[in-house]
Amino acid sequence: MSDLDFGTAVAGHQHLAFGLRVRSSLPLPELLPAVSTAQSDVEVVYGEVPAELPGALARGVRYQSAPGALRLQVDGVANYLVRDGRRITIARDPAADDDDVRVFLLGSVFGALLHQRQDLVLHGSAIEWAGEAVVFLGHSGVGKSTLAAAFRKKGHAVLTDDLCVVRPGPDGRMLAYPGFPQTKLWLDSLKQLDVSAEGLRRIRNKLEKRAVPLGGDFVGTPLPVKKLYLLRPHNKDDLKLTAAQGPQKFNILKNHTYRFGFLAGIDGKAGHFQHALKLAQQTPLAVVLRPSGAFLLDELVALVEADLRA
Amino acid sequence: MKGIVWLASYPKSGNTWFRTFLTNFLRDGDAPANINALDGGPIASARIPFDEAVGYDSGEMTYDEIDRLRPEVYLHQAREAKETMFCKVHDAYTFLSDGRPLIPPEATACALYFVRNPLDVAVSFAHHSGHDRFDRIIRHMAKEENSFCETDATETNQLRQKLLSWSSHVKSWADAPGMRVLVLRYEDMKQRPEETFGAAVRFAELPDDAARVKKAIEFSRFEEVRKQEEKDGFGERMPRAKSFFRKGEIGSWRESLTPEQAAKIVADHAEVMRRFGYLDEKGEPVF
Repeated sequence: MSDLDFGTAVAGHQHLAFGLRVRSSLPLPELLPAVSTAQSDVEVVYGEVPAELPGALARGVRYQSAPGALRLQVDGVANYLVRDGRRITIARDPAADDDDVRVFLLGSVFGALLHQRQDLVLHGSAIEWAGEAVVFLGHSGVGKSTLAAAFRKKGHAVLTDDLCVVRPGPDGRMLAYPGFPQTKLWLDSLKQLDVSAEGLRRIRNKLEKRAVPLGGDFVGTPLPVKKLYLLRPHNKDDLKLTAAQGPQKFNILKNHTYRFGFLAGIDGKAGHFQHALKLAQQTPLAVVLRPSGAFLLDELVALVEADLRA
Repeated sequence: MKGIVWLASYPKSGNTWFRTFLTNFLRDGDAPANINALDGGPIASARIPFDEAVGYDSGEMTYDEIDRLRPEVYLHQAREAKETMFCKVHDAYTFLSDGRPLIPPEATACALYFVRNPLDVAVSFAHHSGHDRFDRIIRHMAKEENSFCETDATETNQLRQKLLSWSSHVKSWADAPGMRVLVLRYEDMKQRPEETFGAAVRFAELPDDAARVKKAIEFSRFEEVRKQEEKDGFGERMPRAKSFFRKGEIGSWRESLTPEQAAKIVADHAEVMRRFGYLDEKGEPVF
């Protein structure tokens, strides 16, 4: 940790995300601003990123993961180095714009940072339900963000989108932490939600996916997890909700861990599984199958609501 | 590294049938294998394995950015695989703008390419898509820019696949430079199964065991897979299609297509149809 110098106040933008104070050389307008100038938990700086990580235990096509260090390369955008769950270094491609750099920073790069901190990082979105959190798990494209947005429309605040951090609270109950006040939605989803795409920023100028700021419909405090739902498509016409039992719950959490491949190189694996086990023991989990052809969003919301009230 | 055995085809050309055979052959069990747990999947264009291998979301990349990484994803998968990996693919064999092939020969053990009479493909493809608008399918089959899953309005569970026209698809694989490719005709799988499946087994360097081939053919018969689909459904059926396993016959185009529709397909694809024995010397359909 000798390369970390948190003693000196460096110029930077102060933000809050996932329960952490983030100081960043790159402005991160998606995140809540932090008013405090207290020492930060995470530093985001520009700098050099080595091409190779010595001691990498896991290698993907564009990542290397070693104990305490992860390197991610996004061609034409930036190389990122994540160290000790505390410091993110960005070497950006001159052709990339800030939006490009932030999309991957606030996704996989933050995911790696949280994994390094031994947090349980799930691939899911979460909403507030009567003072507790309800988490929607699922693979990319299955409709987690759309479902969370539909609940927002019905007056439920959103806690996080796509990346859900769960930590044990002081009384041992597992708490879902607020991410940042933004969801990302495709045009088809906006249409289903009856939201105009006009004026909504593209997450990258090359993509039609839009950034939807949550404004006041965001919960800024951690909430105990009431229930988890795994969303899965099937090629039938109906919706089907089934309670998961015993080891199946743990396996679902494992399979919907955010960027599970990163974990192989990180020495925080034991902590991760311990938290996943605890969450599985404490929290009911249901598998919801939805038609892959038609989303049936209203019916899906009604089904989940009825289940939560039961 | 053993490399990937690609199970390549234009849609509706016998790929799933071969995967059913392969699954039965590899498992070598006493009863037919479950069609909802077939080997050779997920398809090469599946989104989730791509995201996991790369380390970030394909949903936040353009299709061209994705394609530039796909060759490396396959090399990575080939290196990581503990045993021979079979992988279904509907993409045509194409090259990126920098000249690299989408599917690298270095990641490849060999490719089995399934080809079927395009007249029957048209009929089967329309039913698979849940309609009988054959003219539309015939147009797609003639279009060089034809792709699957190319939309910017949502995130499909598969990446964009450039199919090209039916003729270009066939030629792209049959003539892929640096690839060991065995072309298998659907009609031969149907009419001379032991010989055809046996040749595939030998080409893919699987155990050359005639009795095992025979049993796997029996366990993957159309009636068997149809029965399983009726009972439990099939996860690879398109949502709008009534069933995945529909007829599995040769020449059913004769009852479905108008003479004009058939003539259009023949005109569009005569060269490749002739090359693979689908047209006789007089230019008449063989099957």
